[in-house]
Amino acid sequence: MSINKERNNVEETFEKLVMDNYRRVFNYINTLVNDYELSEDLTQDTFLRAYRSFKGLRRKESFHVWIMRIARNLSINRMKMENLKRIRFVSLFTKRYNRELIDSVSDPVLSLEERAKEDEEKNIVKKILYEMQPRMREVLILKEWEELSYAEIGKVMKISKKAVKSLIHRAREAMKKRLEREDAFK
Amino acid sequence: MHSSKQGDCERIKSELSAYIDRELNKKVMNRVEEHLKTCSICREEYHTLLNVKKMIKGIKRVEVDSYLPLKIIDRVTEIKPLPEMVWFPVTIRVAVLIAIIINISIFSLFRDYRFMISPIPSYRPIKIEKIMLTEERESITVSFSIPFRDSIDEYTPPEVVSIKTPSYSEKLLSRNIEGTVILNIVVDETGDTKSVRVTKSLSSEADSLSIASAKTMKFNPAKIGTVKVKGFITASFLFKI
Repeated sequence: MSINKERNNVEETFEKLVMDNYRRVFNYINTLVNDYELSEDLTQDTFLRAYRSFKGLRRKESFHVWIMRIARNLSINRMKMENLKRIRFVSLFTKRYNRELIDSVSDPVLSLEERAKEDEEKNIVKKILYEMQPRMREVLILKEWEELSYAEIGKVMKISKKAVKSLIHRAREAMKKRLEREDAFK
Repeated sequence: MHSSKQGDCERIKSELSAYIDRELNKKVMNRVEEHLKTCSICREEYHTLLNVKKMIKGIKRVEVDSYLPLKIIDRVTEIKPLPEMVWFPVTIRVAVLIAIIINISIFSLFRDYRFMISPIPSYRPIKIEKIMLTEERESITVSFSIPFRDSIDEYTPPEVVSIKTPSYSEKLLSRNIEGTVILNIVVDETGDTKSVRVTKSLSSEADSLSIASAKTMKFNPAKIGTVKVKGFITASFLFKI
């Protein structure tokens, strides 16, 4: 009886965590794998995996970092398994309606017109971001979108705080250079 | 004087990113702040980096279908709870434990197990007859698979039209080589093999046999909708003697 009660309790907390976090988890995974359907799949897997060992997580406030780490591990494993490079090959270099598929893969909800209306500058930024080294892209996303601290990023990516610091610096410098070349600064 | 200032700038510049993120200790924070007040070059760099940060922050996130969390919650509730454990009071648990220990010790008193074990011999010699296979020639079997999920709508992978299956060479036979070679083949828009890569190699002879065969293959090119595109296919060659 009491166990059932506890279970319901866990379920309720977990449901709330799903509702609060699914967007960020999805977007993070999407920056890693760059494939809408695969990201959806991996988001589901991430939360399922998290639920299985949820009881073991003592400090619920670190849930955010913890789930990012699960998401990362699952994504990397999956990429190895499915050899995502090949998907990339098709998606990057195959053109449909003179538009590279990568656009339609990463932003399937928007219609063509809507996409055209989208802010040009942001498109450029996004394009550059996706052309960056995966690790740099990841670290920037974790910093700017997820607003994690360097220590937390280190935990997610399994590197030291110092390494995070220099990686972020190099990533921003690289971004800056590219943006300057594209003349994106006003 | 001038050069030392330049060195200072370099050092400050390398700390700027962390300064923006408020990830420096107080002392360094102050030093950077002081420097920014006086140095216009570094100040400009600071503003540019701040701009970069803002721009990335402003990138539109990918919209997620709102059914996704519901799906997750659905699947979570499907996970069956652990079977309810019935916890006996401590006294009973201890009593059971003691009973088990006593049982084991009584058992071990009877060193002679023969009366407990049934007299059936535990192993009997079994006569194994050698099975002779009817003579089967060495063969090479080729099979194909599509190496990725069709994550793109209307994508049809390349199809094989004609292949020339290689046959065992003397060299391979004499060395008794068996196993598989796996090749990744890029098929171009006209249906010809564009390039071949070995992902699992067997021996140089077997590899080159497989590659030669792959290069002569003909395909129906991959399509997206009705447009012919480049595609991937994986061929595995099973060498068996």
